[in-house]
Amino acid sequence: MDWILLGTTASLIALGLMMVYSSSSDLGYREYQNPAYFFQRQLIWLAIGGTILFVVSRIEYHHWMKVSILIMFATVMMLLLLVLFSKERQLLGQSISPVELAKLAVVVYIGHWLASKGDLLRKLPYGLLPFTIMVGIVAGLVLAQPDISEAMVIVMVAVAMFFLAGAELLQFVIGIGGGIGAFVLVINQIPQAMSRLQGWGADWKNPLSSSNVQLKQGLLALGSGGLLGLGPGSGRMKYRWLPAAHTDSIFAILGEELGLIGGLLVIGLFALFVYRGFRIAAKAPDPFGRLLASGITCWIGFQALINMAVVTGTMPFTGIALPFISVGGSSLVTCLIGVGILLSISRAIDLPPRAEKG
Amino acid sequence: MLADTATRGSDSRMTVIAFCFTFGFAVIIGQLVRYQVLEHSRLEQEANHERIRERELPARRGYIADIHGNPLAINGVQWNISVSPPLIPNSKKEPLAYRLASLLELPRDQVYAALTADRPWVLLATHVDQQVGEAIMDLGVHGITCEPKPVRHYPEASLFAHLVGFVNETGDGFYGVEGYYNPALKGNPGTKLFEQDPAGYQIPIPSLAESAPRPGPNLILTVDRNIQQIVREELERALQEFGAEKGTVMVMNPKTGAIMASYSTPTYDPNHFGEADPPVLSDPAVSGIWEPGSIMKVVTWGGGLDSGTISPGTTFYDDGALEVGGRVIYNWDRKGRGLVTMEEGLIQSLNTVAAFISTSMGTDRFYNYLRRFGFGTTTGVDLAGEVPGMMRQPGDSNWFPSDLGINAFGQGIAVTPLQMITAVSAVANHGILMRPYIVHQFVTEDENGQEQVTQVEPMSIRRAISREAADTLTEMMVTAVEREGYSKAHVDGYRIAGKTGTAQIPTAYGYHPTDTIASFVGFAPADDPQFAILVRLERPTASPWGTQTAAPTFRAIAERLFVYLQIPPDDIRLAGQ
Repeated sequence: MDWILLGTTASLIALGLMMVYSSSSDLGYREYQNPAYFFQRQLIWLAIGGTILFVVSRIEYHHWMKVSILIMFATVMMLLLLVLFSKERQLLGQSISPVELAKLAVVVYIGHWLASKGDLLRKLPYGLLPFTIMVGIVAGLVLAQPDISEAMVIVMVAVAMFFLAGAELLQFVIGIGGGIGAFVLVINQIPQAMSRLQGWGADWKNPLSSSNVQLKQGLLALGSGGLLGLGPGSGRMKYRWLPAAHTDSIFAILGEELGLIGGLLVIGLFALFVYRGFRIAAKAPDPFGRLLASGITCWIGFQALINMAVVTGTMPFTGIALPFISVGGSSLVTCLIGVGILLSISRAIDLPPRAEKG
Repeated sequence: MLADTATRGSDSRMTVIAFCFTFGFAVIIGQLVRYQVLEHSRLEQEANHERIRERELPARRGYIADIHGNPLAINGVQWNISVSPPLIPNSKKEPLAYRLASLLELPRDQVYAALTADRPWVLLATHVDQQVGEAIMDLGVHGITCEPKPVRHYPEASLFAHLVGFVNETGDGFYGVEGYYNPALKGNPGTKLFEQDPAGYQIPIPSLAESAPRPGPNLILTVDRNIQQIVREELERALQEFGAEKGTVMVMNPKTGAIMASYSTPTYDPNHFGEADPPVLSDPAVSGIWEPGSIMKVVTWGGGLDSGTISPGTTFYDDGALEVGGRVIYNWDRKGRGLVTMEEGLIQSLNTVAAFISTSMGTDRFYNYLRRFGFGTTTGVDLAGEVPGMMRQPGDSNWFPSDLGINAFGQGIAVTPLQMITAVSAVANHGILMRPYIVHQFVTEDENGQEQVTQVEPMSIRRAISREAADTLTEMMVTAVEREGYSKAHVDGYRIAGKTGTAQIPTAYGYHPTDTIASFVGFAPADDPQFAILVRLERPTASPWGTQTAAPTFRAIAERLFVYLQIPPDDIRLAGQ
């Protein structure tokens, strides 16, 4: 089993718990008269997620093929429910985010689907067309939330898996082109997204004059941190200056309190995570294992990248959790399930090659 | 293996993805370096600019007490009550409106309208009493804000209104002691450099810098609440009995210049100064002036005796009129007394004799004595709003030679009650003019919380007249009181020195035909004066004469002061020595 991957994950979570307590204590005190409110809930989710991780890492990963269609169906249903009946992005009183589950479902389902196609992928009717339809449905439902960043993660992960599965390069380039075209069309339909995109150019040059409070305060937080940071717990921006300080903007608080050193540590841990993830993928005994491992790696890696890119003003749009670190049960648990699957695949590498069935 | 080529192809494709990640992480690192290293100081400065604030920490205003420590001005709290309608559940609004309305004594509809207003914040009531504010806080309703406002309380209400003054909404004192000592009483505010959240509240980390406020000193006054109470009772009784409009009574320690009591009507309640008629706010004892009339003769006789112009036995033939500078001066009854001594002239309060003295002295000497008794300038008392009065002197464009004659019996010159009692106190004090004062002690707290008391020493301004002249004049004033005409000021067993005055009131068309200002000034015991009293009654209707109105008021106060100050009758006191 890949102990380094598990250790990397544990390090990110430990760092995350510290930041969760620091960034949420003021809000917890104000809203619930308990500074440890969010920290305690995060601990409970960690216990749940950790247990599931242990179980999943013990389950032979091929079993996921049996349930991939079911998971995908359930995810699409939940997303539909949200689009049709709810104004929120969560179900059951904000406790479950179907979007988080959607990413896991897409990785498992597309991994299964791509692996089962083999060389057939190179033919248009079997490859690009059904792939585009499948991804389009899920990404479309997520976009309709509206949650552009999450939709982007789903599309990027799916495209990366399609690429790794051996897609015809010409098809792939056409697909990417079409995807970007579709994306621009969708953005044009969402005025909020459009204005974000237009403001982004100016924000990149002079973030301090940005009208985007979250971006501006986030950069002030990062900038105040400097090289070494103000020290754990000593951040100022979490006191109502920075919206979503404990969730989507937690990386800014981390930069404020732990400085460039802390930011580099987080980036280093995610880089190590991605490296170990691809290492497992490269050594996976079969195409499903390879696609599943790279899919999970891309999901967590892309999501971390997008989160940090948004906080640093490198990319427009907001609203995505930093894996393992942001407050949020659904994100933490699904990420831990992903790590569990990765560990399960890594365990298969160490086993003697299985005798081919039949 | 079959999958060899596919695997190799997959490996190179994985390298492409890995490169994408490397590129992405590199960009993020670049951005972090940009913001956390290259632009660090600019961003830090901007963050500090929006977050760091300096706030003034108000200093506690010193309290004011009488000479026995009875509080005259203390600090309290009132509340501003405001509500945030969006924070209060709709179901609770009806019962809450009922509770708040009864606590605040406001119409229920008005409170309910505030609770249901479509605004984030509504100011419901200001100046809410401490107990009511605390009762509202005890309701514990989220969405009701009780903001404390420091407020000055005057436990004695109108009793010391003129002497003490009041503090306004912005914390500044006006009139009296509050006005005069405002900068000192306010103390030195401290400052706090702190970091705020967007709503302006300090975030829960220690302040960056803090300098503690220094409270203003507490002031212990020379006044005595009991004497003040006696003075008020007797003045109000006199006003009613003699049908007078207004009045002022001052009590001074003639040996020190300490003001023991000072009360004037009409007055006001400094706890509700906003409801007072503005002209009532200023203290008539220091800001009001009047033509004093015959009590001014004390000064004229004092100057005459001191300069050697006259002696008690000097005689003057009074034919009832005397011409000075083209103006004919008459006695109060327009009758001549024939040959009179100077003593008799004072006792009978003859204007002709007064004019004889001043003209005999000549302008230079006469006005010099007025100045030496403190007229024409402020006394320097530590009360706000003191005025110098109006004294025309030779050389002034509006001075006429006739003024020399009429000034001698208190016409054509306007003085404050404080100037008058201070001048007469100089006679009581064997000729030495003392600076009148009201603050007895400054009580400050040092860094260790130890009280430090600074005593105010009495201050003599100058010798107005010689000891001999002063004592001679005192004896003449004693005789005056003991003689029949002034018997209404006499208190059995005590020798009292005094002088009445009945001043005509100047108007734009000469003096008012009937109205007068009656006054009496005196001190006792004559050989060792413990107090001087000035009584001034405006437009008494029972009798225009000071002898009939101000003199008995003086006696009523003096009688009670002998008892209160435990001054034994003269024979007992002098026998004991």
